[in-house]
Amino acid sequence: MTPRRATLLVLFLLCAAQLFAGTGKIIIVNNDRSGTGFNDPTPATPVGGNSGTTLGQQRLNVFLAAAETWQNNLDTNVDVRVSATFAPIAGCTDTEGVLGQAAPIEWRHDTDGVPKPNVWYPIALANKLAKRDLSPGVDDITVRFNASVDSATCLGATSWYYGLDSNHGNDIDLFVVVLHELGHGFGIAGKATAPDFSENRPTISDVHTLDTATGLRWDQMTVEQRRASMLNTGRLAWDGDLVRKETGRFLQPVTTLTISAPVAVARNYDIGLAAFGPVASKSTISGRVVIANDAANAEGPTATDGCSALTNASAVAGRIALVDRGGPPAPADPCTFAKKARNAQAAGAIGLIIVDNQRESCAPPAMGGSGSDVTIPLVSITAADGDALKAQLNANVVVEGALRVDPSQLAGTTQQGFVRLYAPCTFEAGSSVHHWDTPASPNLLMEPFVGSDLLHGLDLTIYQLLDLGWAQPPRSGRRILKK
Amino acid sequence: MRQRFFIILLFAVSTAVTASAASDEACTRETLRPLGARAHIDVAPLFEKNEAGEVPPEGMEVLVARIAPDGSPVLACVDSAEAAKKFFEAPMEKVARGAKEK
Repeated sequence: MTPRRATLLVLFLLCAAQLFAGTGKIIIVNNDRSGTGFNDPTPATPVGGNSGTTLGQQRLNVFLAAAETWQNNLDTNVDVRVSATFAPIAGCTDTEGVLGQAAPIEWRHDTDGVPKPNVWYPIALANKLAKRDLSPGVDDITVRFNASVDSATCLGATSWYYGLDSNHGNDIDLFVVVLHELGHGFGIAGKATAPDFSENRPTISDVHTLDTATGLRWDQMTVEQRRASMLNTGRLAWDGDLVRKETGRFLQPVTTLTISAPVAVARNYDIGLAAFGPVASKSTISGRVVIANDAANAEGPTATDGCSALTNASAVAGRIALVDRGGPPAPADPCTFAKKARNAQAAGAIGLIIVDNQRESCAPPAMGGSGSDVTIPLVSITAADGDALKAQLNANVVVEGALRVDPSQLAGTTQQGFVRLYAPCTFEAGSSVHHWDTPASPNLLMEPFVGSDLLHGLDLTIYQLLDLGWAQPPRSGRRILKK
Repeated sequence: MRQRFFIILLFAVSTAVTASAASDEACTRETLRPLGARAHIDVAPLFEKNEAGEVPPEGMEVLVARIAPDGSPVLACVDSAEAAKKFFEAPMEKVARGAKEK
């Protein structure tokens, strides 16, 4: 072969390789028996863009549409086989139940093409990196959804919504939860329950899990360090470059309490918002923070609960008042959040900070109630954050704060710009670590509490998977919806 | 006399419970367990070997749901039976907060 022919052949092979890159498909393997699940022949009326005329057909259409969304955004390279069933799962009541489950069927390490040694990869990603099926004939991801949700005895009037248009009302949008669960199957998962590693090896997700307080990633920690890290609220984050680069497209600036002085406590604080009063995000106020004092009496047992008229109104006027959550024991009249706000407002405060009294909680409470007469913004902070501020105030240090939208920080990110992972300071409801943290706003697909307001897009999740080692097909991105 | 005593006792208990449930919304809403609390579903079998001896895949994530008093579903994705138990037992306001529309 002449050099010219050899060059042409190499060029042809390169073009062919490019042409066939990303030609793998996401295949939904219907494992249901005849007449059940995806094969349920019960007649159904087409709904929300789903043209299926039987229950089974509609279920399958949703799965296929979710698979297509993933396929439009991931270079699957090798076919990904999703073993799917839609059968009843035992244990559902009228108020609680299991919706479904998902997992990679197999994990591999040190296979061809993986960039990191001694790290677990979910089989679908290992196949993609090896450019071949490492387990021929074996499915890659398992998903199982609960058909009982469609019955009146499971979750009451709530059913699966099989439309493809997000108009699910009080029903559960199957499309979104299939997208979410497939995300775990593609690799946003641990192989063992955190903080443990299987055979002392991290998964590729663990390798990108960073504790910003210590500067260590999970693969650099001992199990005890990881145990502490998974409770480090607000400081556990995803360190992948692509997520970090794209964060601004999906998250909005954070609404926050910013303490600017003294330096010891200067930072943005996580806040809880009230169901009444001016919207904190639209009412920037700034000034000195002052502890509000009132009588410890039948209206409120402490001198800092703000349950009765403030006794230091002259100190509070024109400033941001700080009071403690809580009120008198029953059967006394309750000391509501609104009552505290009215007392602060009457004393001339320009804003109110309520310090949580639930010490086991690491997220500031959302404040219910009503108060159309409340004209000052109010926010809540955690007990720990309240302690830090009160220590300064009790030492007569001037504390300067502002309730505002901070354009320099996005909701759900750390001060360094990493997207936070779910790490509740006490072991709370919801899976830890392999989800985004709940302050992310707008809601993200891979938060532990799958939001009812999610659009049918992959938001930051696709970039999380690219950080793991997946690739995007050429000309992709049409389905990565921005809210 | 004895019957009257029990009637008075019953009245006193019911009054106390009613008063307690209606008290300070700032601190009691998340600490009182709902009256008539019942056993929650157990998802542990999903994480264990089944009757056929099949072991669930490692890295299993389970999506669970509760119905809020307003009839809306609240969803959570958990990776252990313990996390599911916490979700089912948690005060609704706490889990609904995590799931709220922002």
